[in-house]
Amino acid sequence: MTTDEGQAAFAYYTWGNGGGFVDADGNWAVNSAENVEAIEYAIGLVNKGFTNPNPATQTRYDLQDMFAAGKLAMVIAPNQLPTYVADKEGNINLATANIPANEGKSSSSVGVMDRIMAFKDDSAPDQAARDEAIGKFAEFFYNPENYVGWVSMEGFLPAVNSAVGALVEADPSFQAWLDVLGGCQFYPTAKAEWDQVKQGVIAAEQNALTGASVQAELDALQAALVG
Amino acid sequence: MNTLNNKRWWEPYLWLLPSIVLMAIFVVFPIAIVFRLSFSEISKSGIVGGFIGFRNFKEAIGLPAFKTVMINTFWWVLSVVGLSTLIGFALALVLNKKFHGRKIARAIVVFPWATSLVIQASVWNYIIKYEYGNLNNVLLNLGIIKQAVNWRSSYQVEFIWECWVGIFVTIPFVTFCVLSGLQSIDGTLYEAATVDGAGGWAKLWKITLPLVRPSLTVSTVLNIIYVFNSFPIIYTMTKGAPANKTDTLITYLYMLNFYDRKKGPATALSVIGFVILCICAGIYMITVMRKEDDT
Repeated sequence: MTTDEGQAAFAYYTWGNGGGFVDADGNWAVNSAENVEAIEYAIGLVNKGFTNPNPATQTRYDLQDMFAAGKLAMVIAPNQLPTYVADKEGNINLATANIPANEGKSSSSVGVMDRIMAFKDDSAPDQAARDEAIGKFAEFFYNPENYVGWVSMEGFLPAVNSAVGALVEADPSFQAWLDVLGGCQFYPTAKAEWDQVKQGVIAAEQNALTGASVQAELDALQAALVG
Repeated sequence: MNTLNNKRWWEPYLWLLPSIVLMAIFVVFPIAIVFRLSFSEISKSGIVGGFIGFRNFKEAIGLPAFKTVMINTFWWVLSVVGLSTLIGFALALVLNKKFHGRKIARAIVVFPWATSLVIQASVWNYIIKYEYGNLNNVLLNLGIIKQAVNWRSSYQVEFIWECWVGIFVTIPFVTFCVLSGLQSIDGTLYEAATVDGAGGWAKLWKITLPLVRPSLTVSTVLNIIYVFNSFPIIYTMTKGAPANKTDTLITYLYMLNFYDRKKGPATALSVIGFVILCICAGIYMITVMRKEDDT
């Protein structure tokens, strides 16, 4: 629930309870009953001592180090964790599992992505040539010959099926992550208010950690979003 | 001679000109830009719009965390400047005396000042860490505690730790400012005071403090400015978490600008901070200089 990535903690718990940032129509719904129940549950875990004691200031990098050293039993982490543990020469047995969900709800992994964007430019003299150039670049980038090397270097999961075969052949353990990819949800970053929501849910969690009401905090954020 | 001076009246200004030009470009101009921006509409992506009066200031002051941040800033400056001055002064008195290893002691005192603030804050983060921090390790090994203590049990305690790190890194600066003042005091004054029957406390209040006052003034004014504007310690240790409760004005306006993308209120806060700093430093210097003139 840190200042940098607290929105991820919000996502883990709310998506696992059938809630989330938006409703089925894509409108902001941060104060839904499912969200309030999920965050109250998460805060309860902290208060009962079932988590690291300072979730607002202790980053996942710290927790990953402790996990690699065999000092932590369980951690929510990205797919690079096994490589990270191996690089740290951590001699631990590890296995992966889905992020827990409430009874009757489905588990979701948090997907994060970067975007390659081309911008509209009505002033360009030759729009057709411009569109062709953009298409050529995209084809070059996503060509497995180039893309597989780049994805492997970054430790990412591929965005195109054509790269899957080569990646799994290079590292069979990759398949487990690819199986999870289908169940990923992504932050609604295309919505203009996203950075306000991101900071807002982090503030709501951190205020709740100091005793504030989850319902009140999320109601205030929702009111600020919808006006 | 008078005719020569009148002919060359422009000479001092010529020598000052490079400094004035550099200050104008790198200090005055940016300050003027920030003032202008604080009265302008600024979009999330940084595009500057038209004049909007005091709207940014009203929005900044109306933010829920503003009061907490201002109170934190007050305690941050008061505790770090106040306690580092007291401790630094006492340390300077000790380092001014002759003893074996004085040079080594003086060199060791410089270390916290010479090391970057980010490294200092990171090291203290490790020291007080609950799971594997040095403090818990040492106390457990010595048998002073039976199980690890969470040294960051609440945001109030975390803020106190941040103030402690601020004091720790500021002490050397005060120490050496005061030491330079102490070393300029004529020793015969103390001898004369001894002959007159003055004890240690009397010498401290009647001789040392008045003569060291200029050095203390310099170190205090500079410390008020440095500490007020200090960013790395709080950003490294807590990033103002939870929910800005350990933020000071500088870290808060950074979060407002780069995390919340509220660039207008962030620039308004920088102007507010600048004005507060000018007033505080100005009052302090005028008060102390008036006392020096009276004496």
